[in-house]
Amino acid sequence: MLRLSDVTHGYGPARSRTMVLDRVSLSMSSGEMWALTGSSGSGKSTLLNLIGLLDRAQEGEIELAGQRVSGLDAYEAAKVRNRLIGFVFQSFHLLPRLTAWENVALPLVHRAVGRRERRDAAMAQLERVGLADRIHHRPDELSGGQRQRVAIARALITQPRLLLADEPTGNLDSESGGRVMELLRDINLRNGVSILMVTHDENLAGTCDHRVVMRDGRIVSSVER
Amino acid sequence: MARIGGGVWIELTREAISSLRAQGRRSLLALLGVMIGSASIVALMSFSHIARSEVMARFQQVGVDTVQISPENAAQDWLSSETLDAVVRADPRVLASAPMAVGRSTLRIAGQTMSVSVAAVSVDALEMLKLHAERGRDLSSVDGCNGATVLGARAAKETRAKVGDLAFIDGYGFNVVGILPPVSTQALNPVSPDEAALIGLSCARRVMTRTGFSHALVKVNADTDPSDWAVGLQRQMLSRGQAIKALTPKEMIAAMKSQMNLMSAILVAIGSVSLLVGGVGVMNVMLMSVMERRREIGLRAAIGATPSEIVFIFIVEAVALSVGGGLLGALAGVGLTALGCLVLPISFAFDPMVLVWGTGIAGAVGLVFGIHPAVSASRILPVEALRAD
Repeated sequence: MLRLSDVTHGYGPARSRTMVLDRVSLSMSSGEMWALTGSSGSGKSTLLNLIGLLDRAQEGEIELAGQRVSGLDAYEAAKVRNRLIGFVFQSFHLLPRLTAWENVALPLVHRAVGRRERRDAAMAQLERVGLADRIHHRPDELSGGQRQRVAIARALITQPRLLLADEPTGNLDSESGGRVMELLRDINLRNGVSILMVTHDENLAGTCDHRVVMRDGRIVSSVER
Repeated sequence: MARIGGGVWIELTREAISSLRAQGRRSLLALLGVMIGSASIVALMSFSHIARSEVMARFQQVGVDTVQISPENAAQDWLSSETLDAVVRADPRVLASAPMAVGRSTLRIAGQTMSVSVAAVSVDALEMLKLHAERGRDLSSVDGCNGATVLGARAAKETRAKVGDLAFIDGYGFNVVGILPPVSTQALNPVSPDEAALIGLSCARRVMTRTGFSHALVKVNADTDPSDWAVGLQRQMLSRGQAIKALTPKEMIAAMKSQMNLMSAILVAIGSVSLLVGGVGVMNVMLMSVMERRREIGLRAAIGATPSEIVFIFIVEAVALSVGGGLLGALAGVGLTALGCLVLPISFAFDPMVLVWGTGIAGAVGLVFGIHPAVSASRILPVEALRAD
C-alpha cells in the first residue's frame, strides 16, 4: 500500500539545511491502521505531508498503491491526492461559507461530479459518520466533534485507499475524541481504508495496529501491536 | 461516480460565482470601479452613434451635392442677382440655385412677440431644403408680395400663431398661411427653420434694409465635386470684385468630425482611466481574497484541485465581477446618454451593440487584471497554507 525508502527532507538552503527527516523507510500494508508518534519537531507532520504529496521529498522514494509518487509534478500530484488519499486535519479545515454537505462534497467538484450526485454522495457519507440530521448546518453551527466528523466524511467521499490524519482528536475533548477514534477504527475495519495517524495521545496510539515512534527525523521504533 | 458533460470547469464556475455572492459588499465595491469605466465608454459610444446619425440626417435633407455661398463678411454688399445670373445660373454644372435674404426681426402676433430669423426664400429654396408646411400651405410663386408668411414650429408655438392669423414683421403685416413641422438643424441652411419666419423672395425689400441676397444655395450635378466647383466660383466672383465664402458639405462634415473626435478622445481617455482604475480595484479585491482564502486554497489543493483549476476559480471570479460591473455600467451609460439627450438638442437613439461592447471590454479588463491574483493563488504551497494556526 505505502512504501517509503530513504526519504530525506530538510528546510533552508543546501549548505545550512536543517534536516527534518533523515533516511526514513517504512512499509505499510493495505487495510492497516498506523499511529505515528513522537515529540514536537520529530518530523512526523513533515512525513505525513510528504506521503500526502502536499510537499515534495528532497531525496528518497515514495510508492503509493504500487505507483511511484515521489517526483510527480503539481498536476499529477493533485490527481493522485484526489484519487487515492483522504486528509483529516487537527483544525478540520472546513469552509465556513459552505454547509456540511457542501463541505463534504467539495472533493467531487474537482472530479466534475454534478451537483445532485454530489449531494447524494455527501448525504450518504454524513449518514455514515452519524450526522444525517446536520446536512444543512454550517461549520459554526456544529460542535468540534461534529466538525471533525464532517471533515472525515469529506475525506471518505472520494473512497480513498489511504486516510492521513494529523492529530484528528487534538482539538477535541476526550468524549468527542473518543467518538472520532471509534469512527476512524470503524472506517478502517468496515471500509478497508488504510489509516496513518499522527498523534500525541499514547492511549490512541495504543489502539492502532502498528506504532511508529520518531525522534529527530528518524524512526526509532516501529512496533506491531 | 458519474461524470457530467462540460466537466470540472462548469462546476468550478458555479463555485466561483457562489463564492462571489458570499463576499457580498466587497464584491460590490469592486464592481463600482468597473461600472464607472464601462458607463463612460458606453456613453461615449452612444453619443458618437447619435452624433453620426444626426449628421447623416442633416445631409439627408439637403444632399451632399449642395454648396452654400455668402459674402465673405457680413458688412460687405450682398450678392446681386445679376452676378448670380452671370456666374452661377450660366454654369452648365449647376442644376439648381436658390438665393435667400436672411435677417433678424421681431415677429408680433396678437400681442405676443419673438425675435426670429426672417428668411426671404424662393420656392426653389424651399424645395431644396424640403421645408413644407405641416398645417396650412407652402409659400407659392403666385404669392408674390401679397404678404404671406410660413412660420417655423417654435416661432408659431411661442407666439401662439394659427394659420390665418395676422403677423407683423418689422411692422409690416403678413398672413400666416402655413406652419412648418419641427425640423432638426439642417446642414447648409443659414437659418434654423424652427425659429424662422419664411416670406416670399420678392417681399425681401419690405423688411430688409439691403438689396440682393445674403445667401444662395447651389446644387451641382453628380459629376462635379462641390468643393472644386466652389473654389472656381470664389475665383470668378473675386474677379468681379466680390469676395465670397463657400460652405460645402465636405467642409462641414470635416468640422463636425473634428468636434466629434475631440469629444470622443476626451471620453475615451476618461473611460480608459476609469477602467484601468476599476481593473486595479478588481486586482486588489482578488489579491485580498487570495490572501484571506489561503486555507481554502490549501485545502482545495489537498483534496485534489490542480493548479490550473485554482487559477480558473480566481479568474472566473475576477471576470464575473467585471462583467457584472460592466453590464451595470453599460446600462448606466445608456441612461446617462438618454439624460444627455434630454438636455442637449439631439434625439436619443439606442444601439444594443454598446451593451455588448461595454460588457465585453469590462470582462477583458477583469481577465487581464485577474491573471496575477489567480496565478499567485495557484502558487501557494498547500503545506504552508494548511499549517495549523
